[in-house]
Amino acid sequence: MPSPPGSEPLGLSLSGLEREILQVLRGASPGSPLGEDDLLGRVRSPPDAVRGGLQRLRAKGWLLLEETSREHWVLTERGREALAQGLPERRLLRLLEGGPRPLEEIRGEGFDPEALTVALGQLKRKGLLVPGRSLTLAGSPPATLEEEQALSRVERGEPPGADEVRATLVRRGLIAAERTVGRRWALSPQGAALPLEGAGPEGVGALTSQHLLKDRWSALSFRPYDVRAPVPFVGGARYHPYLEWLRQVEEVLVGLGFEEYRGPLVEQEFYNMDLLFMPQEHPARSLQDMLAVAGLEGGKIPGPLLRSVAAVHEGRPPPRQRSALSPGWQTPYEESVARHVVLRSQTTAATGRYLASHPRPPFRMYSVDLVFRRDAVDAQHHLQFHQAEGVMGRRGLTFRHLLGLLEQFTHALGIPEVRFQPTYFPFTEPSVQGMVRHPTLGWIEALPGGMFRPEVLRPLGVKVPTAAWGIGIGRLALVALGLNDIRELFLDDLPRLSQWRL
Amino acid sequence: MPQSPLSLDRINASLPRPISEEALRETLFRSKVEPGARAGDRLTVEVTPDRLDLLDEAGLARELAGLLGLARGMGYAFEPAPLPGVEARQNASVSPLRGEFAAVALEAPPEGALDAGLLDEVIRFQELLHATTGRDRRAGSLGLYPLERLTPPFRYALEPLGQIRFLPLASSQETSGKEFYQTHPLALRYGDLGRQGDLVLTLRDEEDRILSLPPVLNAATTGEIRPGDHRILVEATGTRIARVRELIGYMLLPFVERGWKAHPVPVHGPEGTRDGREVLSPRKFTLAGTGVQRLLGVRLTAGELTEHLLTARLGAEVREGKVHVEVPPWRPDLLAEVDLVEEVAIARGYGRFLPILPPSPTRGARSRSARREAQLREVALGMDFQELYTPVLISGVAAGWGLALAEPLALVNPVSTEFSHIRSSLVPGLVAALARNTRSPYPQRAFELGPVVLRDGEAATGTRTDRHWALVESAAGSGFARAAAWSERLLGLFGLQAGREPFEVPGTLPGRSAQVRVAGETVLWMGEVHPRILSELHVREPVAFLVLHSSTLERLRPVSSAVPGP
Repeated sequence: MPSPPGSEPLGLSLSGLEREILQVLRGASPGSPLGEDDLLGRVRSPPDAVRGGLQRLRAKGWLLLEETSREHWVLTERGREALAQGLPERRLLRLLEGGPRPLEEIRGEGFDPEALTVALGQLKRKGLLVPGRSLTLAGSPPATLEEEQALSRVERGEPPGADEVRATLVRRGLIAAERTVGRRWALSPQGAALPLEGAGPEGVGALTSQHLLKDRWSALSFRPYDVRAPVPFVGGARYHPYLEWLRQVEEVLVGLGFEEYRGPLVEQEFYNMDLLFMPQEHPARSLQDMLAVAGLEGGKIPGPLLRSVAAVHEGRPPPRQRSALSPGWQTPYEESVARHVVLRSQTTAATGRYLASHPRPPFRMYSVDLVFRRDAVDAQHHLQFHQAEGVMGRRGLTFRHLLGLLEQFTHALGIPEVRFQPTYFPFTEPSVQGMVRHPTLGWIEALPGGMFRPEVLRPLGVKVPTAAWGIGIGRLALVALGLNDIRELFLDDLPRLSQWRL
Repeated sequence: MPQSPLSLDRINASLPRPISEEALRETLFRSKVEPGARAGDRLTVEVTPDRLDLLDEAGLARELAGLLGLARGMGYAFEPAPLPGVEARQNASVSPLRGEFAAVALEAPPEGALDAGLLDEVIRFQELLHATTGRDRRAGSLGLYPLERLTPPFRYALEPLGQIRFLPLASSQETSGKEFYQTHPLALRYGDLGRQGDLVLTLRDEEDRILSLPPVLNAATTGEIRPGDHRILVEATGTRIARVRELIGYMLLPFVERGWKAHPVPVHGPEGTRDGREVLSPRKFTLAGTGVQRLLGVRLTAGELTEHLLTARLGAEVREGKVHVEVPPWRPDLLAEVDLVEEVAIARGYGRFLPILPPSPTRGARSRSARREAQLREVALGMDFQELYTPVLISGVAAGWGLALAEPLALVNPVSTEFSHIRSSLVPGLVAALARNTRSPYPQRAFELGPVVLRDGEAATGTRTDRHWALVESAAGSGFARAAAWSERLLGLFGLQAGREPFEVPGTLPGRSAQVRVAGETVLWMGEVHPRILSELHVREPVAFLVLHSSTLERLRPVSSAVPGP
């Protein structure tokens, strides 16, 4: 889409230098990049400033950089010295042009010992010295040595020549290889499309504090921006979508008159199971299903409550309560089992603790909290998940009130359809499973609940009808958040979380 | 939940008239049955654990017939008199090992007999009961025998293994008891349940023939029922009489529903004689309409209650203004008045209960600590820290990093090494999250507010659950100074007058960790994660962290409902 005349891209705040660079590149042959040195020569600013402008324009995506790398040879400091004063072997040749001379005599004239060794070696290797006690030339000295020719070529910027000579000079530390990087700049397609013609370089881009001071801005004209131009990515911290959704659930419950309660994650089986009339030999209480904690011995359970629960389990409640209670599980109740320490497997444990301390009606309590099961982790299961647990009790409360509450709760969560099916829990009677309609999965189980059995309420001292429900809220969260894998509730991909759709 | 593949043909054959699969599925929604996939004639159904009777074709058909209005009432009566001579003796010696025994005798209807279909159904149901109610035979097990080919009375006893010669079911070769217990697969699996040293449980008839070695296996011939049999002995052994009776009660169902008569089998035991009727007799209750109304919220007359109970396939009649209810032996789930109320509700249909909103006499509220936590989350977000949710269970490796003031508790039975410890600090989980973000842009900032579990000798569980709030940052230039700056901000926000004290936190660079205490309690601690851990995790930038003990803060500075000031 073309930009409005006279505008420039949003956030561009082109300086005069940047505008000039863009115009120089636009003036060059289309499609052929300009070398950086060439560009530096065409822009009327110091090279370092131009280089900074190039990098800024590149970061904005308006310039393309093409880099080429080249290897070439240079004289070392020793090489430059040798070229100026002569190689050691050339200096020795000069000393011997007048006739043979003893080695000691030459040493005595201050010839550097290391250079003399090199010179002797080179002349002997080339066959220019006659073996003997004195140093004698084998003939007329050559006008130039191939090493001298090679050094001259390198000085001129040419390659040193034959591999053998080059290797010798490198070994002697006279020349070295250098790598230079060539930079060529061109406009990117976005840069080529920038509207530069409408506004002069003297217009002001960004408003600064300097402009605001002493009302300098009033004397300035500000360039308009292309408000549709691309802009840099902006991230930012967010609440975790799953936890945020859970908090919305809690808000719904608070709105329904429930107060929050939290219980401990590590529980004794007494609270996790026994208090809920779960038989001590129930299969769900095995180490196959619950996670036990090492190195802990469960402590004492309040005596009256323990005795009362034991009596209900064993089917020997106080005589005045017998008519309403079942014969129990008719197995010996073991306190040692009740004391076992486990990670709680249901938030109903929190309900038990709450009712033990709040038996007087009316009450409405909720707990949206973690529970743990010994499940292998896959797309459908995790060891750790949230349950939304609720309990309400008052005189006159009935099963229909429970259905009404569950229906209202699901509607408040944006789930329009719910229907109820019989189910079974050891601690409720009647028990109900609320089914909600999933757009693709059809009816799914989501809202288990029921009226607490007298076997649960009597030991706790609760004397009014009490309804309870415990929702595996993670399943509803998957539906609400559009996820298919329960492991995604632990999403910790920071960029993805930052961009999570509202 | 228990499940079994049931024959649709046999279900329909047991109904007064066949129904379509669609009607069957729709009707079962009103029950505790979840129909699943169908393969050929077999429909897999799942039931709640209290309704194992629905995992038999006859049982399911019975339920359907009630809900569809095709049949009503209990439809069950047993013959009060035992078959002549059919009784059993229980030796006192069995008591320590498997001390409960009961039996019934079943008699086919005139012109009828055991057929192959019923035989298959019964054997499958028997195995299902062993696995569920029988707790893999540990709590109880069943045996079925061809009564016509046996000579009562029967004898349940504990005998020396050396006396046993046994022809196992489905075998043609007699073996010694010793060899059987050493080699037979079922004996290897269940042998310990019926053996005490050199003594084993046996069931014999008057001719001293072994019927079975409970609870392992029946004998061939004497312990093998076949199509054409007219009389069958059903016995159960176990460790509790209630469980033994439950097993027999369930096993009556496929026979009684096909017109077989049930006779009691008297058992003479060390504590006297039981006439066997207690196994077969329906249990009796009375149900008051007021109780039903109190629980369900609907007013039902005695007549209406009776109708619903008959629909539930129970016995019910009104006498002297009260509803008298009879429950057949295959419904051990019905134990008290509330259970009958649920039967009424199911028979009436949950869909017919109009949901009503409960009056709301209470005012809802978040807990005070939750309100404090909301403030902390807002502070973290304002500092540009992304909220994370990491598992409470961490790996042994993460537990070994330290970055905590207390060692994490280990699990006895972890599912995997990845989740073997209960965290005592949020920092290891957050650092692990940073390690999964090494390809993401830096700087990275994250926070979590959640539970940790710490040892507490004063608590009954030996632990307490605290709430912590932790910040981590991975960025160029991040380090202890950053964490210290965060701590200053928090101290200022909560009006706490306290300074940082040197404090070595495991897993941090020495000399670069500290704590802040208020009134002698640690409220904050912070540090710079040791590069050894960061290298191991390939985290590219240094990591600073800060932990705030939210629970402690709430104790020291309870959240106020007043509007905070500057």
